[in-house]
Amino acid sequence: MACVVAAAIAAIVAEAFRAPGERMPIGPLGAIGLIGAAVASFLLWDHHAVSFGVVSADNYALFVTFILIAVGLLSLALAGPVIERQGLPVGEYYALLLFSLGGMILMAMATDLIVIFLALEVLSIGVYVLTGIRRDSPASVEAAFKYFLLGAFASAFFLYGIAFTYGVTGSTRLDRIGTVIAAQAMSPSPMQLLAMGLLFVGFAFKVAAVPFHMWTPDAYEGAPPSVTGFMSTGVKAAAFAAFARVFLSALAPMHGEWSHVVWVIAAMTMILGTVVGVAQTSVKRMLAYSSIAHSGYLLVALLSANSSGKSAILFYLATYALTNLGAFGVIGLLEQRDAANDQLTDYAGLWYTQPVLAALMTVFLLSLGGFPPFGGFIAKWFIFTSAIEAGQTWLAIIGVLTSVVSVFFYLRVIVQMYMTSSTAPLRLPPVPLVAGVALVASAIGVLYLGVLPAQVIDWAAASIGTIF
Amino acid sequence: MTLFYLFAAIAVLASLLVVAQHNPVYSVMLLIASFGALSGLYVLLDAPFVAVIQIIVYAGAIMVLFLFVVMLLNAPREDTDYDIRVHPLFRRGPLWFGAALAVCLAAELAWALGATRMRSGFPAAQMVSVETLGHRLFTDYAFQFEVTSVLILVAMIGAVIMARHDEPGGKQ
Repeated sequence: MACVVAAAIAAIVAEAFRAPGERMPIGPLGAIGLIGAAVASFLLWDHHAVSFGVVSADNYALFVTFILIAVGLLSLALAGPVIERQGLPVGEYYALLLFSLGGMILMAMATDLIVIFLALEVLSIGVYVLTGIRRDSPASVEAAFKYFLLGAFASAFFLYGIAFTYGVTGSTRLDRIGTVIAAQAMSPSPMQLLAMGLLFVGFAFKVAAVPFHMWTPDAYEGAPPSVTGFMSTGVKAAAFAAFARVFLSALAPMHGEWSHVVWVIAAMTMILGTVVGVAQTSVKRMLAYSSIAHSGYLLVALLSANSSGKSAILFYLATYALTNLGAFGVIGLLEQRDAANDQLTDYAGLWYTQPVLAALMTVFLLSLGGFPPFGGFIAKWFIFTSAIEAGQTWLAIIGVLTSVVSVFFYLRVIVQMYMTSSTAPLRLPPVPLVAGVALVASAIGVLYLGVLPAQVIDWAAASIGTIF
Repeated sequence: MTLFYLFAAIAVLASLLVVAQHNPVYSVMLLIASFGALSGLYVLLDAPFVAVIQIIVYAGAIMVLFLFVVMLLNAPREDTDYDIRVHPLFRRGPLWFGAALAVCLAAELAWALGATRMRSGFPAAQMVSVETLGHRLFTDYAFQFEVTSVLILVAMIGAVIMARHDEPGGKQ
């Protein structure tokens, strides 16, 4: 709870500082707020603090909070050069970023459907505006508009789901819903199934699972790359945290009903994400489809829902957050004022002009593809093992096959960077120190998670063990 | 019961007239009348809060938005040839759509009348006064209330950012 307040206060203070002069050091201020939130959640670890009966700072929520704070810090650090180059409004950018981060943290902690909905809206509205913050660019505005319209639909679905759930169970609190549903688990009423389906649609939209993924490539391509990194990781982490909490605790008695739906959607998400990803020529769109595929892997973990599957979700979210933020950070640094430089051909010969950036990008892409020394490998391996343990062998096979296919398009970028020579080498301004440090830090994090994952896996298992 | 029939008659009549107008401004006005009659029905159902919300939100805020849009579009009359020749109630679109809706309504009514014996899936509604509602809102749902204020703040900032005019070469 304290960390939500801290993050919100940080955002509000940033807001207040915006008014007098536009050159206030708002980024560091936000970072201080986030570090405060991290300290607060560290102190809350193992306390199981519950406030108002609707917000619970259990270890599960705190683990996700740590991921989100890392996402927030890295996004703040990586946003600087993009903001400067595009001439974006500084104060508003940071304030919205912090507000939606506050919404994400709240979403991870909420144990009441209404609070989840409100948190979802806080984070979504922040992200909608961030997507369209580059208002002179038609692509950005188009992306924001699409994202906003479809997001509003998804929110309406989610709200309907809450209303029907309330109609069936008489409560919006997850624990009470859980008891009521468990009592009638043998023969769920049609209304209850409808409610569950609507809630599922709402979440599936936010995590970009397949029939609800249409907005993803456009939104990811149109938004400034620093925003894309933020929304592809933060929104996904928060949405999956709440997704898992709702479906593994309150709706757990209906596992038999929702598991079929999740099975089909997970398989479709993995397959479509990779197959369409192969056909992309823009690296941003390619990463958008790859993030759809990654949602599929997370759904596999959610479906297997055994003890290792649950901690696999958290571990995967942590790895994915670091990796994807890093990849979009590099894209953000390569972008220039008048050229997006996100086509595959723009990466030709990057190794010869920008060896450090190329090396970092290689680390992130290999981790996304699931190569052994990096975090992505352990995370994927963990998910597929838990799927096999849970008897979902076919899903695990689809997962392995699609990740092999996905290696193709990650490697294609790497081949471009190292093995072709550029006809028109990019002339880039020197990389700002903060952004450089952030990129190196996330690369080290990815390596750490890949080489010495035991500690983090233990934390993940311990944190998720406390609630489910 | 007389009051019910009065309000119901006003609502039905006003709604019919909404569709039958040539001038969209009249349509909006009649829609307000229809909403007013609906809120009268809510009062009769012992739901004063819903009635008041109906007036404030629908008849007040949303209809004013409608009026603004109608006036901004500057289309006080629909006057193509077809519009003048055929009365709005007898155009092809409204006829088919209206017929489809009427069939739906009839089917639902038949189903509802047939199913009245069945136990409703929803918990029995209790009478909710505005006072209890306010009490609940600021005790049980105080946290949600506060989060809503943050939500509105974010939405406001977002709207300002998206709608603001940037002066060329202005502040950075």
